[in-house]
Amino acid sequence: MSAARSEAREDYLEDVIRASMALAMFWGIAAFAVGVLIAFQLAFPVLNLGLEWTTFGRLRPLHTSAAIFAFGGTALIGSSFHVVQRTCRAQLFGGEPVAWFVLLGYQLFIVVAATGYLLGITQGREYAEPEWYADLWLTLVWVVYLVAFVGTLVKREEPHIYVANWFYLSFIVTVAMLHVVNNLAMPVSLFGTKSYSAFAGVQDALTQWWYGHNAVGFFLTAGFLGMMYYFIPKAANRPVYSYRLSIVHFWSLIFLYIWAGPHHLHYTALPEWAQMLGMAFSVMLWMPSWGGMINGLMTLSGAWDKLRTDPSLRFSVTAVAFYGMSTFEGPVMSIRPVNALSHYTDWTIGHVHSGALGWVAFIVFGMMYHLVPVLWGRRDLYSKTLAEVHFWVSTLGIVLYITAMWVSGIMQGLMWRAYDELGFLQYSFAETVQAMHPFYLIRAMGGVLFLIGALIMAYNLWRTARGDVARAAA
Amino acid sequence: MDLVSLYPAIKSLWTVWLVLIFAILVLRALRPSRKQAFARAAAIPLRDDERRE
Repeated sequence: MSAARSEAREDYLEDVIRASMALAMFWGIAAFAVGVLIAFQLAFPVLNLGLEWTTFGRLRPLHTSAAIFAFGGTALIGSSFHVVQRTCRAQLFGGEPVAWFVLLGYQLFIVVAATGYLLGITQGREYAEPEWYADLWLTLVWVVYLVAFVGTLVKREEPHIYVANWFYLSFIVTVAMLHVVNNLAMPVSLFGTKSYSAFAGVQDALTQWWYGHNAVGFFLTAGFLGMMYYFIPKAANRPVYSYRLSIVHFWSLIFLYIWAGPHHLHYTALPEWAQMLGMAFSVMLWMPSWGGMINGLMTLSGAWDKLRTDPSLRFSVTAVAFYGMSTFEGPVMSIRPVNALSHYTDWTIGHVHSGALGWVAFIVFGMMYHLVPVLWGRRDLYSKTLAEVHFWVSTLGIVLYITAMWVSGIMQGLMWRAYDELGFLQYSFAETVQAMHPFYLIRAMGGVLFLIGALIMAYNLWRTARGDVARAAA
Repeated sequence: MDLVSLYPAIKSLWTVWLVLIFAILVLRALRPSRKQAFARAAAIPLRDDERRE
């Protein structure tokens, strides 16, 4: 038994995970760079270059898809392969061929989708822009991913399925369901790129936002919570604060999140009861979110000093703090009167980025600062000082970004609703755009800082993988 | 009272079902007798020896 087990341990697939780390880093930098470019385009429209391929409208989905699906998705696939093997004490089901198919098949999907955006090929559904042929390919890749993951769970040697795997599994299963339903469409022709959705009108809108919000819930939340539940205990070398709470966290997230989508359609043709339902469930989501945040943070209780010495933990714990903050802000924004002010303004963009930069990117950075030395068999990072610089540069970038968007968004919302004494709108649309200009600049600078931080990280991890060690700073 | 007229009422029962399932799951998680099993489960990531140099 023990011989078999140690043999299995030798067999953990790691090449594919190492590749996923490099790819995630690459996509992260690409996503942040395009983000910086389109942020400057908003401030200086001349940067659209007058070319159809480089307009904001085509680059924006390139940025969101690169950040969420390419950077986040690749990090999720790689880390889930690592976590499921280690916590099941079993090699990934299907071995090398299946693992490489999932990782590279997913990369192909990203490249096909992203190049399509630049050529103007899109379904026009937010976060589900890829057209039917890319969607079909992703479905195949995703089913293989599910089989590999569940197959590993089935053949596990550890009797219990560790909670991180529950979160990863819910991410895989739910994304499959959302992707298939939201992308039900009829292609116009067999060799053409254009398709039409199976839904119409308000049903179409609700399907899209049932998809859209649960992509936030299960792609950007549940998946990365799986990361949190493995890598924070691992880096802190302490078990999670409360395993009980992690189970309650899991099930309440599962039962509540799926209902929250209608809050994207407040004051639309969607029936009011459905809007209220979405709002009520969004507000209830406060509880599991904060339960999860407390669980992550309290895992460090008694080991807070590690925040000073372990860059991985510093990123992960800050990520959890941002998770708490953005999951507080989200329910507030889902309340209808608040949404009346916040919707369609920059406030939403700021909220998304406090989640995407603060939570998603930081939890990935924390995972990578821990996992890269492990995967390449290094005792430590090349330079903790560089990691520290990365931390502060990026954190400052996020703070600049979200505060600029709060001010800009609330100002924008207030200007839109301002009336003069005769009942006319007080401001023209162009006046609101002009008023937002300084905040666009601050936001773009925040993005530049975040991008610089990621470049520092890439250099640090590359040197770590090579086995270099910087001379320790005092 | 035929089955067709009962259908809307029965259809809405799944809300009750979901609440019941959720309550059972939470109560199971909170049972004091699970303490030891949870402690073992929580240690799963830590019992894995990494091949660090």
